[in-house]
Amino acid sequence: MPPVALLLPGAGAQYPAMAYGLYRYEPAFTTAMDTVLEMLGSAGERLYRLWSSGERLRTVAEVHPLLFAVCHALSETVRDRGLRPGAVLGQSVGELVAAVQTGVLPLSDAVRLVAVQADALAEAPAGGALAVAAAPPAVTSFLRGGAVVAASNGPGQTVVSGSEFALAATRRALEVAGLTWMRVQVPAGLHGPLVAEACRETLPAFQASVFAVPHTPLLSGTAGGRPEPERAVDPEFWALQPSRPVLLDAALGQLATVGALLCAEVGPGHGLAVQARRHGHRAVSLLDGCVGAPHEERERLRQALDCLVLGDPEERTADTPSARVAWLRPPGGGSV
Amino acid sequence: MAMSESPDRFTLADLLRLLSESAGIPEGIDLEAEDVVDTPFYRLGYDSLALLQVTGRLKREYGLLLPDTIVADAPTPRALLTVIAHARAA
Repeated sequence: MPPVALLLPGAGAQYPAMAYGLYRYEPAFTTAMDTVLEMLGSAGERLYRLWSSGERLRTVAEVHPLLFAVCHALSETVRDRGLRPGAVLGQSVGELVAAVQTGVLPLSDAVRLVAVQADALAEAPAGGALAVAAAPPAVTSFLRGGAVVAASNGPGQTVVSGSEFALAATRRALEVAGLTWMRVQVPAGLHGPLVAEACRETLPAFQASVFAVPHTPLLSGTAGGRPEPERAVDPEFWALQPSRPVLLDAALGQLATVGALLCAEVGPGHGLAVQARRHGHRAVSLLDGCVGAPHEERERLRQALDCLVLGDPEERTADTPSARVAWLRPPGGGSV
Repeated sequence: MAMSESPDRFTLADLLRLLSESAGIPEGIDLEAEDVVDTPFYRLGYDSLALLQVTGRLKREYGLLLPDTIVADAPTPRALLTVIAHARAA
């Protein structure tokens, strides 16, 4: 089987009861979820109740640990099928999942840190984010009230974060300019100055862990590609990530230097897979933002794993059952 | 880009053209296939921001006012084309 690139998303990808349709159905997923929830202790119990009851996740303290658990459990599901990650790309809280998948941190340390970090971020001044359909240089002149570019996702997508006042003023400026925007479901002013102090407070917790050099190519949204080994083991690099801009466009650009890999978005949504496609990568997402009945999540996972295990549908015969599963291909006829 | 060649109807081809101009053409997906019209946009490789760009262009180029909830309410090309047809008739 060809190696795959795991793509790990951050906040904004979550939906109520995300991936719950796989729980108690997919053994590797279930075991990994139980392991993380148990490590989270009493917070894990609360999160399990929220998750299983299908309630909306409202705070960073809810979104980040549950997203971490789901993305970790989906990564373990991919490995359980015998697939080997040839590269791992993480953005936002997905970076801590990537740290586990590349051997930078043991799972227990990453779980402890995601909880410490989420609790600190939940106490930060209120804020949120918008996605704008334009490249960062086309957006910066419309930022108002202290809003900042939080993520450079590609030539057609920039995420802006800030206080509610800043976002309202920025929205008006964007509308006057005729730029399309939408709200991102992020319950904080992530990747901007609003959460800088909260991240600083978590530094001692990060310094209490030992970070190892990645054993698999690690692509970081914060680094905009592969961090140098000394940076990959620096606690401050990891602790300050939620306050640094996400350079997803640059990180996806560097993914090609690792090799021609099939990309698998191992999270609830499909945003990373869509951006990877724009970089010329072949990409599939395990759940594809499949907000729906549990059996739909199971079917979607089955189709996506078929794609990864069997390889490129175009190299298979046309009557292979899932031959027409939606592989996302780059625009303009490019291929890896 | 020119307006629709058949001004009386907004067709699937018009919609797919607006989508590809906003977000690129998803290869490996047969946009000529019969079931494209009932395939969820996300499986065609288009995210909600791409759909909002299309509704923005529908407003500017066709004068069509579609509700902001359209992205959630019209998950497939058929559903969106139905909403567009109603808006054009109104």
